[in-house]
Amino acid sequence: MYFYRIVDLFGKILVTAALVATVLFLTLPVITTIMISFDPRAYLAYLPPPGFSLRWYESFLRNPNFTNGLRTSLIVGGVSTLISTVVGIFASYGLVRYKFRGKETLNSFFLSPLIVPAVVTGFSLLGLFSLLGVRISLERLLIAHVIITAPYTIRTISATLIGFDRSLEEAAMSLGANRVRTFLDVTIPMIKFGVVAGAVFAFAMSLDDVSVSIFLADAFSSTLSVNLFAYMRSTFEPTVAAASVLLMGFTFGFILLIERAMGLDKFVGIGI
Amino acid sequence: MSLDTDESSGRRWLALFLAPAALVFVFLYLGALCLLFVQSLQIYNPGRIVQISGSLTLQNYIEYFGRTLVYYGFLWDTLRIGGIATVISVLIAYPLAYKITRTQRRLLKKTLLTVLVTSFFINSIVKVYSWVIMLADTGLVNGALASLGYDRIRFLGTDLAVAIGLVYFLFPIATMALVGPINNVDQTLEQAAANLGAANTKAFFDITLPLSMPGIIASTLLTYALAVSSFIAPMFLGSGIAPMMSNIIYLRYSETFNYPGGSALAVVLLVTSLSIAYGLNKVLTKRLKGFG
Repeated sequence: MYFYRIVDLFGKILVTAALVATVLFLTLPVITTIMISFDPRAYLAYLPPPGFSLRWYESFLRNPNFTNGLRTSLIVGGVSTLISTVVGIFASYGLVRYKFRGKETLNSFFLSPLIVPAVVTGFSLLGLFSLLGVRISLERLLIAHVIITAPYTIRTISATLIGFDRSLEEAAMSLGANRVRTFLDVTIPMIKFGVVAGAVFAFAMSLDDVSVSIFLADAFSSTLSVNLFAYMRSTFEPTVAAASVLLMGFTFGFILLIERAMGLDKFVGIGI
Repeated sequence: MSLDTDESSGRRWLALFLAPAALVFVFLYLGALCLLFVQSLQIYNPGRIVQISGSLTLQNYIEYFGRTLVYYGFLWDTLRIGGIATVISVLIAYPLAYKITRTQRRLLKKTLLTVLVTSFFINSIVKVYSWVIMLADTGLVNGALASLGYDRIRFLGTDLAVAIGLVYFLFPIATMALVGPINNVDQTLEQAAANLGAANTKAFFDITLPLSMPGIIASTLLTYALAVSSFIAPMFLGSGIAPMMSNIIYLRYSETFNYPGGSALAVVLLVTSLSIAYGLNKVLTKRLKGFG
């Protein structure tokens, strides 16, 4: 038995060390970025910074590429999330509550933008929009973002819907409620937290996207992430760090909302 | 089936529910992917993006994959670096996923979950920028090396930097894909083995690890399918020296605006990642059969 205890002790130490290393690996780079964003020096240099400065935040706010990009990101993210959420509610309801042939195929098809390389999605949509004559970049971005965010709303809402059996809906209908009333008064309240989590997920992915949008944006409408990508192709100066801290603010907002809506453990359990 | 008392009215409702998503995905998405395939068989005609001509040719594929070995090199680099990053991601994902599902301490569980979800939701630009400044010549890692008296190492532009960046992007996804399967392994089996005198470590290797193997394979394949389509991390951490297929498609297109040529490369990448995903699907259905 002694032998087992020693083995277990080593196992425990190993797992703990791995976890500590993992958490450091995940957090250190981000902490470095936060420090750099307050660095008064005009170049990337060894840390820690010798002083404190808000110059990079000022530089971010003075650059119309970034402020306009942020505005476009919020518009594209907001509108495409709204559309994806409605599309997602309907599609999930059809996929979860009905039996029909080809259901699995349709389901994997709706989730396929998660697996298709994002650059391929963006590149193929560029061709389609060019063929159809969709020339306004805001429209192109909106349609593309519905395609890339709908899988997230469909997945999250489906997972929530599976958790509730249909007996409540059946009860409402046997008491005389019609289908629309049942849907609005019973189904929607049941799944509303899943809907919120799915919408947050969709908005986060829209804000994050570069690989698809980069083919569809132009000088008139381009998202913040795409503009930061373009900026980083010429320089890594700390204005990007200031933008990163702003984007991290969004990230924490998303996590707070998801925690309130469905709890992080449930969210992680759904997977990607 | 009291929801569908009338079969044909049920069908009508179903059609209505699925119509919006079907419209978006069939007409726009499938349409775009089919057009991409057709475009990859067209001859490039400068001045326009989409080519309209009746004749189809394999010329684009021959140009990239028939005359030179360069693009096989890019494809191989993509599969190789993506593969290394995938293996590392899953290896470090497992202990975290295991701890999240098994720990009894609520604070620890909450902390680990928060770190995991945060690292998933951190914006890609933030992720890649953070690693650029970590690995830059005057970055944190080189600063630490210098203060310890070692020479500086040039990271940016190496496969190592790209692989580290990819792990940072993929690791949260690998973990999230593992949490469900590990959670589903019956904990009483582990406890029974431990009660019968096996060390916890032995119980883990005899019971939990084999039973969560389908989950590990599924997580690996999902991670790999996403790894081969990486774009942002190789773009900056590879400094254009170690680019992967997605970068090649973007860079070649933004230089030449040759849409049919880009389409051929895009089709190759698409087939690559869909083959991996097809393997994933096979594993998942086999698992359902095995346990159902």
